[in-house]
Amino acid sequence: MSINKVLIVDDSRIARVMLKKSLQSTNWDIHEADDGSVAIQKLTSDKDDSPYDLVFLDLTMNDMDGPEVLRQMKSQALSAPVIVVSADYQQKMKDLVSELGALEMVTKPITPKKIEEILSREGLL
Amino acid sequence: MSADEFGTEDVEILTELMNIGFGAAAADLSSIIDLMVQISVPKVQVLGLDEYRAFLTQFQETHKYLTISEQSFEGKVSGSGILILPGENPFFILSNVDSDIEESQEAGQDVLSDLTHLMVGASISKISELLEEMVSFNSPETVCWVESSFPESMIRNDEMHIVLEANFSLESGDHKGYLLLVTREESTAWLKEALVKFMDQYS
Repeated sequence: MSINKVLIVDDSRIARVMLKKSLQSTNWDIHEADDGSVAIQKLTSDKDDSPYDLVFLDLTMNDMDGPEVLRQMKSQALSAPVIVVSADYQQKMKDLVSELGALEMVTKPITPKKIEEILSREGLL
Repeated sequence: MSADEFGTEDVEILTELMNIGFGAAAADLSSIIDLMVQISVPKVQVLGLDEYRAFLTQFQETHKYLTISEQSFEGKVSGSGILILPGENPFFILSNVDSDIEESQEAGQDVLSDLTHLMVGASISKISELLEEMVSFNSPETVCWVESSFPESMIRNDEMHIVLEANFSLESGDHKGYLLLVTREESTAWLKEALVKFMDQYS
């Protein structure tokens, strides 16, 4: 699978900076959304002409949280693969996001090494 | 160091670290009680002494009864972790931690101490690990048990308080708790430097 366009969804600017830096070596076209509803808008508006190849999604957000983004993606047939990036690593939460269609859940803080391992595991490199 | 010197960027970094620390605490708690722990987006505020007093007063204005436990920590970053269970029956939450708990104040305080140590310990340990430092913990103490106000002794006379706040609720019901991490004024300069160093790895 070839990745070109990526969306980072996190309400923390610092978390987005950390993730972007960790993805620096990929040369992907990285876009950002600072809450869940903005993410859904971006995924919807770009789905026909220039869809996202991968989404990094935070779980705990004030406006629309990660599980709700996954539910809306499912109901609106927005099929971009999602990697959940979260500080919350409860097994029940992992089970929930897996049921909702996420590829996998990785714990914060994200590092370049962690990113490389995930992308390699998921065959995204 | 004044409140102005601990700027927006510092607050944003600390908020993200609190998010990670609180995530660790929620995961530890969830693994013990086998229930999903819902956690809020954390909030970080830099407060002067009067603002800190007003901040704590809000809890007693919002909730008729409070049960509060506090655990101090020492190191390059030092301060207190404060667990607040609002409402007249703290056993709603505590019985999820120990299902055999006897509904007496003494037994309740024991479980409250365990819960405080778990949540404060996990959060602070994670944050200090990320900042490459170590802290030591004192034993948790119950500062009030189903009372309408918090004791004045909870307020240190620091001119500046950095307050990290998050709340949590359990899958089993809508009973909410609050976790506050309050750092001491003397830690602020070190904390600011450590935050810069932490972000340097992403620059």
